[in-house]
Amino acid sequence: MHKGIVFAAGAAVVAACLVTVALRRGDGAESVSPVPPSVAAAPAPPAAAAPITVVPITVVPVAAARDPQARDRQLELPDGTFVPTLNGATGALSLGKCWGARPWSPIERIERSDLGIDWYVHADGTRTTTEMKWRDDLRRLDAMTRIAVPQGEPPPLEPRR
Amino acid sequence: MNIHHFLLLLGLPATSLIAQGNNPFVFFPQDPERQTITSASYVRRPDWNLQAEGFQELAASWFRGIGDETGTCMVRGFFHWAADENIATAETYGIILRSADPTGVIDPLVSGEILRVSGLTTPTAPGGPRGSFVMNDFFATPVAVPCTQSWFMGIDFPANPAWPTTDGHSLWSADIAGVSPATFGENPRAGSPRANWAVRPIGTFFANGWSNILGVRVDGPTLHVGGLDPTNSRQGLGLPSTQANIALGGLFPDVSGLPRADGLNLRIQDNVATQGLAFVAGSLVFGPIPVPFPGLSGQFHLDLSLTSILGFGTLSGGALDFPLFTPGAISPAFVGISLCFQAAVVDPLTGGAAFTNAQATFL
Repeated sequence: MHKGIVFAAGAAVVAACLVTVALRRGDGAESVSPVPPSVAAAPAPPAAAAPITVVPITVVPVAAARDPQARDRQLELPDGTFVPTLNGATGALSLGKCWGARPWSPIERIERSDLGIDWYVHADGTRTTTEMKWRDDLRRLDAMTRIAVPQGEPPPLEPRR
Repeated sequence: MNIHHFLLLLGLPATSLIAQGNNPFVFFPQDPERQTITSASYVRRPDWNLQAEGFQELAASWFRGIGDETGTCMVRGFFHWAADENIATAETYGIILRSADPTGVIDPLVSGEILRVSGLTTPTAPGGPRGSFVMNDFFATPVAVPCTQSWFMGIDFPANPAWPTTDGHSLWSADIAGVSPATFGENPRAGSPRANWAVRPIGTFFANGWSNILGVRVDGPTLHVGGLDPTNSRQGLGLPSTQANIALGGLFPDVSGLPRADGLNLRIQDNVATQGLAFVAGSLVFGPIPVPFPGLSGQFHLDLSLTSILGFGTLSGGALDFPLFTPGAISPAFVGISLCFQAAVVDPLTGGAAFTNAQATFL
């Protein structure tokens, strides 16, 4: 696609629109609350690390995972294999449907966080899990498939307000 | 040729894309999936270390059809960049979507909750103490949101006295100039409306002058209007000239000439048709009702009688920056005018096609 042509065509049509309607006014502005003044942020000392539980994983044979009775408690992976869902989840979306375009990274182990949630740990550092969470809109528990990708050092802390 | 004839002539087959929340709809100056984030000012919480919900406003005058699955707008998950002051310990948060009250402002009451999922936690990891995770939370059952009315998407933060000194969860944030000393951040015109809100447990709420990396996961491709300000150093230096501010800078550009003369482009993003062909349309207003088209998922949200085809382009790596106006090309005489845009993305591999959301820009 030639961007010059796109630009020329797009600009011409939008410019024509602008000329045609020059009467339309108002930008949808809404009232704005004042923002409190800032002060300097406090330095952040390092905190002690919490223990992490490492658990070996169980790979479920494909045939067993396709048993309808067992399927609800299995998590299908992008490579077509299955592992058990974590944290008692049933009916979680396939990890293959949620993983996205990143190259698949195999599961290496399970870690239990200090809050008692089990996570699969992948070779590239990604953490994945399944959980049941209450949904008021559904009036029942519903499964979630969750993916956490390490992103490295964040920006600085906000100045104290 | 009007948009109706054009789309019918495409002769698209009635195929649909896989419905699993393929794309995050995020309102932040840069694309967090494909661009290096250089516009983040700080990590922030909506109300310091107090309990509060932090929201991005999705006003009906700004956006239409986010998550449109041909008549029903569905949210299939949530996306945010979670900063943690100590990644050796897990943090707790909730996902919350709210509707607007009859006056268009956020409804802070229980009756205003579209969705609340509480008790989610971040994982733990070595290498801290500080760190971040890109959190992707997918629902087995999607939740319906308004297609043509205002709503709000956000995160519920519990109070955390350990934050910011030793631990705690916060969001990557881009501040509007003057809100903080940050030299990187948002870039709307001076005095523009704010679009980020905090709701306290007692139901009071206030606007914050920043944008966060957070948003809902939807099936279809997304569209954002980008503001091109060649004098903008708040997004980092040495960036491509086509890299626009696709948040407040696109929603509220400065074309006044006093001091800026922003250009405009559109950024179309899709994790499904990553090499897709995007057809772009513009109008002066959103349509009175959304219109479905055979063979396309989603609906057309612009006013058909005022719509023009602006052109087409090919996505590369899941994104297309579609040029509209170079900086200086929009006359200051058009200050106060609004324009609305929407695109349809055709996947050459499957023949599937889907509308993006629609977005307005306010000159």
